Amino acid sequence: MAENQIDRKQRQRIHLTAGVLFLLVALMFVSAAFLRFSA
Amino acid sequence: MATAHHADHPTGLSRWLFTTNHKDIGTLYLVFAFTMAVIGGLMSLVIRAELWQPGLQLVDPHFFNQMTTVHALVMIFGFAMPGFVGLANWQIPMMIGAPDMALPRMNNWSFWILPFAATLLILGLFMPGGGPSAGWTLYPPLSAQGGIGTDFTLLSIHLLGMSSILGSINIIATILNMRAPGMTLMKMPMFVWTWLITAFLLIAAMPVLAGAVTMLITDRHFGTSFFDAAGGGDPVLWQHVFWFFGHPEVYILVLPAFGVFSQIIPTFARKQLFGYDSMVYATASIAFLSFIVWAHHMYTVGMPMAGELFFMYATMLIAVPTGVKVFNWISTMWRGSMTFETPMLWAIGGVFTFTIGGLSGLMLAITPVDFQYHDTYFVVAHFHYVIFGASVFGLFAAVYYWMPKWTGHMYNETLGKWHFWLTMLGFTLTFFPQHFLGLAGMPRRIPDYALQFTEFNQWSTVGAFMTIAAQFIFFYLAIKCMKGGERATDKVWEAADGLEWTLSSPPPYHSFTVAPKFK
Repeated sequence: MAENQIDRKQRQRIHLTAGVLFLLVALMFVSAAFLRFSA
Repeated sequence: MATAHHADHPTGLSRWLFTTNHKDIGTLYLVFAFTMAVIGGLMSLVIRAELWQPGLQLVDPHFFNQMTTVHALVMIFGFAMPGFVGLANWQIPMMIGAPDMALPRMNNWSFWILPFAATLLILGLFMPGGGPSAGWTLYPPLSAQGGIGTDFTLLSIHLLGMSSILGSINIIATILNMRAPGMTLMKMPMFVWTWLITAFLLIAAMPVLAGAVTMLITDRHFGTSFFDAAGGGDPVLWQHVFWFFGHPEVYILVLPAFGVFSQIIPTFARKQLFGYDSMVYATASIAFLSFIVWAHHMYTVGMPMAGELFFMYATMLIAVPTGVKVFNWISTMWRGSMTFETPMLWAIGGVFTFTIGGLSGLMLAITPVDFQYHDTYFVVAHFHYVIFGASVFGLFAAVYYWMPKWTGHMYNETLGKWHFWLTMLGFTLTFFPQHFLGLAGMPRRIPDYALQFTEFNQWSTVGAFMTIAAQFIFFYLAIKCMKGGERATDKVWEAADGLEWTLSSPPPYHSFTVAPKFK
């Protein structure tokens, strides 16, 4: 029976997903302040 | 031997401090959430006791304002949100056939931020000058003027937000990458779908709040004037940025509860969920619309007519996908072989109370009408019908539904029903009269009121004490269920469907160590 372990490829995909989401978080954070500076 | 190895885990305090197990972390979240519910509930009793009669009798107005502010923050950030993250932790891996969350160490971190954040939030009340008293919306200039207690709160909100963001990234990474072979997105259980969409909402909304809070902190301590008109800033900017977070936040609290209803109603109606695809699209539509309606909280602030019209129509548009969901739940029940075990009672009760809250929301969406209702008790009634009526009812529904799976024991059905009916009665007694108070003109966030509002306020106070008293039944029942009782079967409910029911009750410490087959 195959163990339900995370393989290397899956691990890379998880890190890629998390990385993209962290970038989105940073973007949304900065956009709030940008509203003020662009006003 | 393999099973013994898999079940191996540290014991005592170190198990809970260092755990990376999704079930342990789910339990920690749920225990934390219900502890915060007790604290927030006691604050609501202070509010309701003071409002028992006109005049000032128990607390001074400044402390009353702190109670309304911190009660809201505790209930939203300390109870409802962590409660659903707890459910997500327990259920999502088991529902998609994954062995654990995608990022287990980050999972531990996102939980353990919470107790420190909550301590900061509560400690603020004991600082010189007291805690924050500007309301949970923390509008400047009032929030720019508060004492050090306000700084405690702002830092606490940063931490609570960080925890939510980390939790959401984990949930999305888990759902997108760790589903059992064969489980396509459109075959996922609705609870998983609603959490996937909620997690995206959190990721888009929480950093905006963090941005606003950071600007408020720099205004308070580093000489900036983002929100200070005297320095060229604009207090209304806070309202825009806050509500850009604040409105999606409502759906962050409500969508996972919708997912819970969509799991429970088919089980106890013994039918498949009606309109699965439309449920998914409706949830996504609600999430999208939640980002373009924020200024309906600000009609009375003043904005161009075109703005008021846009936000009014956009807000009313949310009723369409919401109506689709309510229609689907009712159609699922239609001609089903229904039984009314406690989870089903909470689910139907939740759909009912949410529908009332949704309809009063539609009333508030109408700009000229909102000019009359803004900042009255009508708004308090409305959002409690939504947040208590949908989120808290959904949370209880979920706990009753999955508790036998988690503990391996059945809870006491009679006590569960008593808990539901007393809460329903107490809730209705508390919040239904507040609609009338608001329509008659009683403003929110005041410790004193005109004589003619006394009777409805007294009903409300009696209802609040009744609601809190009913929760003792739940705590007794839950602790009893954890300790023992009638053994639960693996499937627990006759018509339950999903991968979690293929596991034993309670499930092994490490479940799905072998990938399950999903049809």
